[in-house]
Amino acid sequence: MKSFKYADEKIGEKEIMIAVPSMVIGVGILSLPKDLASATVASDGWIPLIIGGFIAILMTWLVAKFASGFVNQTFLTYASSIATRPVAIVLTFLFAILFLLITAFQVRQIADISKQYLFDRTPLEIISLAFLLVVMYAVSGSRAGLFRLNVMFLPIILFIALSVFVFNLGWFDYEKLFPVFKTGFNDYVKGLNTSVTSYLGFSILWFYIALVDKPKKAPKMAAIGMCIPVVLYIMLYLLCIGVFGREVTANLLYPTVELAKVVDIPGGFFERFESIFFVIWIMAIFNTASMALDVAVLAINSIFSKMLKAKILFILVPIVYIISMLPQEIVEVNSFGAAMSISMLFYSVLVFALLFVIAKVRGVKRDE
Amino acid sequence: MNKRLLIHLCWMMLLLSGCWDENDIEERGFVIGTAIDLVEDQQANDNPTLKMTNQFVVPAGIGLPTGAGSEKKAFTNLSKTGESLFEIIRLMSTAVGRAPYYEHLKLIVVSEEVARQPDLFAGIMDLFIRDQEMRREMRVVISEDKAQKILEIEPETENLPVMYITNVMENTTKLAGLIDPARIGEIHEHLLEPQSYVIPRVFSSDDKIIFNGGAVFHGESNRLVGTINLEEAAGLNLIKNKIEGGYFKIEVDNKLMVYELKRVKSNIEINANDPEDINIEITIDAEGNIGEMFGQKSLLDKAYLSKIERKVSERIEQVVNNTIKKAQEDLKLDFFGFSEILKRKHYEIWNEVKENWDEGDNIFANSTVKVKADAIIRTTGATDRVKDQGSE
Repeated sequence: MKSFKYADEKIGEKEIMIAVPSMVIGVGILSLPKDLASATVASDGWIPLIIGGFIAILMTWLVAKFASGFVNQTFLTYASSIATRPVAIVLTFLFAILFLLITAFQVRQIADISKQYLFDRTPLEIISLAFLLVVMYAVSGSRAGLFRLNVMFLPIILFIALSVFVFNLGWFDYEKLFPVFKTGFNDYVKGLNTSVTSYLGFSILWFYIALVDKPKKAPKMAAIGMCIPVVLYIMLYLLCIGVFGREVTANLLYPTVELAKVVDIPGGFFERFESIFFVIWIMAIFNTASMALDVAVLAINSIFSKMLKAKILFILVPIVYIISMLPQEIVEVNSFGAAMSISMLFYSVLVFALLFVIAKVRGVKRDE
Repeated sequence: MNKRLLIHLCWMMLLLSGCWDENDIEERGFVIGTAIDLVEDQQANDNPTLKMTNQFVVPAGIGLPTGAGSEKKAFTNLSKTGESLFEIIRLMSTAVGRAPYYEHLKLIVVSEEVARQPDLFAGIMDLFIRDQEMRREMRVVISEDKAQKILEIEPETENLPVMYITNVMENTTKLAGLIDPARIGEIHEHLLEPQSYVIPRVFSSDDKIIFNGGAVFHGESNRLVGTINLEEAAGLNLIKNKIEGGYFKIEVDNKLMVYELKRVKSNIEINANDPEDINIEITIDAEGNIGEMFGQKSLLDKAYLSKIERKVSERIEQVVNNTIKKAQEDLKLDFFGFSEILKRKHYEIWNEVKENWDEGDNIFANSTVKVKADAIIRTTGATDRVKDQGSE
């Protein structure tokens, strides 16, 4: 079979704007309200969400700005020119591992959630394998095609999130949002930790900016893209608190899914809204997982440039599958996710600080 | 198409066929209502034995809309006993041809006997909240008698008892004392929060369901501790701003008059500067019209109307005060959600008093509650008088 060839493997700035929210919106938001609500009083969780959002937008802009200084150079190329090739190879390799972990986590989470709500008797292994195979198929094709999928899916995802919001307004009780600003400082910090890690995803920019045709406006576009999940998360969080109250939100495993289950369109002609929500949200998670896998492939490919992409995929996918099956139960999955996001966050900040400082000290020329 | 592709497509069919969770709609037994009772224990078990009665829909009995249905009943009730509801549900699957399917469950009836047991109510609700087949829109009611009897009502106007009951529940606009049906989602909130709450209470008589006020649950123990009657429930609804309609009977100049409520707005102000003496002020603004009168005096008289309005206000205050008296003196429980308002508006004070709000020192029972009602009559209906003034 011949696959369809796109004109080139270049993407525009708009695709970057879409890719960032597509990467961020995944399984995180399904359980995020629970973690935030358990740390804070009433609706105060929006404060860490907005502060975390600012940090994420800033980081997105900084990374994009830094990377776009090296037009059409891969991460490995410019990292080598800044901090010698061996260091660059290690950095790239660690990124690849982290992105593989993200893929594994997304696959495992979606399998857990679909088993919980949709396929009661289908084994977890089968659900995740099926999902992973589709992700693999998407990654094996053209990279530009992946971005076009993002452009296609994101509006649908935002639309369904908006419908959940609108249809739940009837249950919304604004009094449940009170009292405000009663959370202690330490709890805000705990909430901030949750919120910042839920915005992870800007790290793809290290690798994807290299594909952008003319990356002049890319930093701005990426930052705008990051605003989408920030606004969406705050909306969904406040909705959860307003509909369920803080106590219940803190105790539901997937408050956002329960929101979709509450939707009851008057007249009774449409009751099971969560089935549609699920289909659409699996698309969102598919986007996240396929981009994470693609970045991992891209990173490995830049180290072993002679290896075929398909060969790398066939090596990586079984590893992802095994990692995703390692945690035994929900508590282990959660701590796996937490450990992964924390290391991703620190690693991204570290790499940025490292490259930025060395580039400044050694005076590496960036083309601007 | 070449042959190799064809072969590939053929073996792929092996992978793509089959489904673990296949379930034909014809083979599903739709459960729409469930009732939970307590069974007298023969063996001295630690855990109380429960009896669960499920109402299954019999599609053949529903018949055609033209009325040419069969003589069969549209539902069938099935009971099993056990210690855990999950166990009972599984036992039940072995007794019916169609696998019980709970996604369309609409009503849970819990008998008062069960709700009065320590720690049992929350345990029963657990399954209905935890199971992913259950929805958060299910209604919960408490039955005075055996819960099973509620599902055995054979309504004349509808095929399915549960549908009949849920339809009656929607008529909250007709009576001020009908408590909003409790959704399982709300009950989840109540179970997690320490506030006391009220769930509608019903009994059946002559194949009819009768709503009789509410069952009051203690917030900490989630145990039924008392009941309120219809009038007290009306007072509760007035305070909680949950009234969508209803009426009040008053007597003006020894003549009966009915005031029909159209809109009610209540406002609760809590003055909590001194935690020892908390002042709760409730203002109720009611709007309505004259629904029926037995007197003959003209209503289009400003002074007379004000007099009626005053009477109505007094009546509302009396109803609300009675309910508060019951809560403060009799049950010593705050089931109005005052502590919730305290938490929202006076968080620091709430933190101070929350341990002793309606237990311990019982600050709630000792707080001062003032009620002020203001009723206005918008119209007098289509006519002024229906009778002439007669002997007056």
